[in-house]
Amino acid sequence: MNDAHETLAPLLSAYLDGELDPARRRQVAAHLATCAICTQELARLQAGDEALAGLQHTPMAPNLRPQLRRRLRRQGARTALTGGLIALIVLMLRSVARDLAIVKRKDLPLLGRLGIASSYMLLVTPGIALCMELLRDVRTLVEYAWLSDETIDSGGSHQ
Amino acid sequence: MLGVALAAAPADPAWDAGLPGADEALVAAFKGGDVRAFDALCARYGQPIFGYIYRSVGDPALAEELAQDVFLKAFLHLRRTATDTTFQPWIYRIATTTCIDAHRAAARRPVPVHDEEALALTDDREAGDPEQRLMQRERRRAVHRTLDALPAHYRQALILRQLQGLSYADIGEALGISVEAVTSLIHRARQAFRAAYSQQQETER
Repeated sequence: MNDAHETLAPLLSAYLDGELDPARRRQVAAHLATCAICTQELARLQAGDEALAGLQHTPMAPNLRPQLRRRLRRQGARTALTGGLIALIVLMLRSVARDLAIVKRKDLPLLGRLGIASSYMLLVTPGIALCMELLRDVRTLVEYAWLSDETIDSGGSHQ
Repeated sequence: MLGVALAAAPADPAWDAGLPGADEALVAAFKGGDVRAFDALCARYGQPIFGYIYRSVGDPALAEELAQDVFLKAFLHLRRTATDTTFQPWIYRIATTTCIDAHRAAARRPVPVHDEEALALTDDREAGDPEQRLMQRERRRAVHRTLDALPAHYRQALILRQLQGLSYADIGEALGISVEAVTSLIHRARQAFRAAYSQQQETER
C-alpha cells in the first residue's frame, strides 16, 4: 500500500460530497483511476448513500408554534418572578446601606469603609444590570407569546 | 392589541427565504426587538429541525416535544449570540445537544425504533403499486434499523450530511468540531453504515 493511498483513501467521502479543494479533488480523481481498492470502496459508499436516500421522507412536522407560545408564556412568568425577586433583594440592600449610612461612618477605618463600599457596588450594580436584562427578556417573551394568531398563520406557511 | 399592531406592520422583504442572507436579516431583526422575525425563523426551520430530531430519536411525539425545546432555547438565547453567529448551524447545534441529552435521559431504553405508523404515512405519499411500496417500506425499515444501531455521533453526522444536506463547515459548527474532524467522522460513519447494512441484509437472506 503506497503513501498516496494511505493519504487519499480517507478523503473518499469528502470527494463524494464535493467538499475537497480543487487540487485535492484532482489528486483523488487521479488516484481512483489507478487504485482498484479505492474504486471499489467508492462504489460501496455510493451504495450506502443510495440506501440512506430512501429516508428522505419524514412525517410532516406538526405546527410547533402554538405550543411554543404557551411554553414561552410560562417562561415569561417565571422570568418576571425571578426579576422581581432580584429587584427586591437589590432594593433591600440599597435600603440597608442607606439606613446604616455605613460608608459615611467616620469611626470605621478607611480601608474597611472602602471594602464595604466595593462589596455593595459588586452586589448592587450587577443586580440592577441583571434586572434590566430580565426585563428585556420578559418584554420579548410577552410580545412573542401574545403575537396574534393571524400573524402566526400569515407569517409562516412553511410548516 | 400588541399582536394586532404587529400584524398590521408589513414583513421585511429581506426575510424572504429564497434570498441570500435572509437568516441574517431575521436574526438582526429579532435582536432589534421584532418578534415576528423569530416566528419566520420558526416557520422556516420547523420542518428540518423536526425531521432531524425525528431521524435521531425515531418517535414523532418525542421529536415534537424536543423540537419545541430547541425553539424555546433558541428564543431565549438568540438575542445574546455573537454578531457573526450563523443561524442554521447554531440551531442544529442546539438540536444535537437536545437529542444527546434525550438519549442520555433514556439510556436504559432500547435504541430508537422508528414509529411504524409514521413509516406507513411516509409510504402513502409515494406512487407505485402496493407490492413495490411494500418492498420500499421493508428496505426503509432495514435502513432505519441500521442507522439506529450506529453509535450516536456516527448517526448524527450521517443525518446532518446525507439527509439534512449541511456542508462540512456547518456540521463542524453544529457538532463543535473542526472541518478536518468532520471529514474523518463522516467517512468512518459511512463505512460503518455500509458494513452494518450489508451484514443486516445478509442476515435477513
